[in-house]
Amino acid sequence: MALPQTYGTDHVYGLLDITQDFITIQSDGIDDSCGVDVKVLDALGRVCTVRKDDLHNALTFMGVLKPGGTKPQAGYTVTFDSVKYIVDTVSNTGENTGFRKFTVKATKYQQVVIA
Amino acid sequence: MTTALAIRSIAEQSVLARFSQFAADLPGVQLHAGQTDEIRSVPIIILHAESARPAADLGGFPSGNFELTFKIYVYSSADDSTLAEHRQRVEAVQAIMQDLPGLKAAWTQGQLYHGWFSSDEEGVADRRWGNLISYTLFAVYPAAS
Repeated sequence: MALPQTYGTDHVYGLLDITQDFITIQSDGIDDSCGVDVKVLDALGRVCTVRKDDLHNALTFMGVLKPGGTKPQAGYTVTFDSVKYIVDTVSNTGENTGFRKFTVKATKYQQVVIA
Repeated sequence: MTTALAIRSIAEQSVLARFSQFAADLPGVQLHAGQTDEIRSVPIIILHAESARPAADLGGFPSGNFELTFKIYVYSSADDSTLAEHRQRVEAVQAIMQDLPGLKAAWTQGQLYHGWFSSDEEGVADRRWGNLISYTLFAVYPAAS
């Protein structure tokens, strides 16, 4: 009798972008939402019309700080996975038993073209 | 400078280099790095980088950064030394390890980020005083050249 075959199912693994020169990225995430989110209710209070527009892509990534490289600043832009975002906040934190961590939160707005 | 030794060897050689600077404060005490099959005599201090693992903060990209468990064994003969003399040796070990800037300066390859005392256990067996003093060290290999 033939042995059963081993098999696997591939999945999407890891980070979107590991090319940032100022940190070793540990995690990332992108949350999409609509700036325009209008609902019209019918006479019974049920949603009968929806308008969603003005897509916002909210990016968060965190990593361990390197001595060199250029750290993003709030109000400026950062390029992540070949997409330019406007930096909302940066957070530079440390502890006495570990490496310094740097977190960037940034947003890409549908109607804003970043040069 | 390229890495010539694995991280545990680097740690052992570096701590040995630091201890060797204080040989005069440990008269008659053998200093030994790592495991050995040599015939040993007491009093002896064995500097052993017991284990190394990638720095957890860096997850899947540790890039040559390590957390080490470094153990220092201090043995004295109960026939040749009093407990007080043995404990003076233990105290000397702790004093040398407590001087972190000195230890960092003696680091032979790469960089020692930080280190701290974890535990000190004392026992006696076969007419020997023995202490096992443990430290946690964080270090990195030298950068690629």
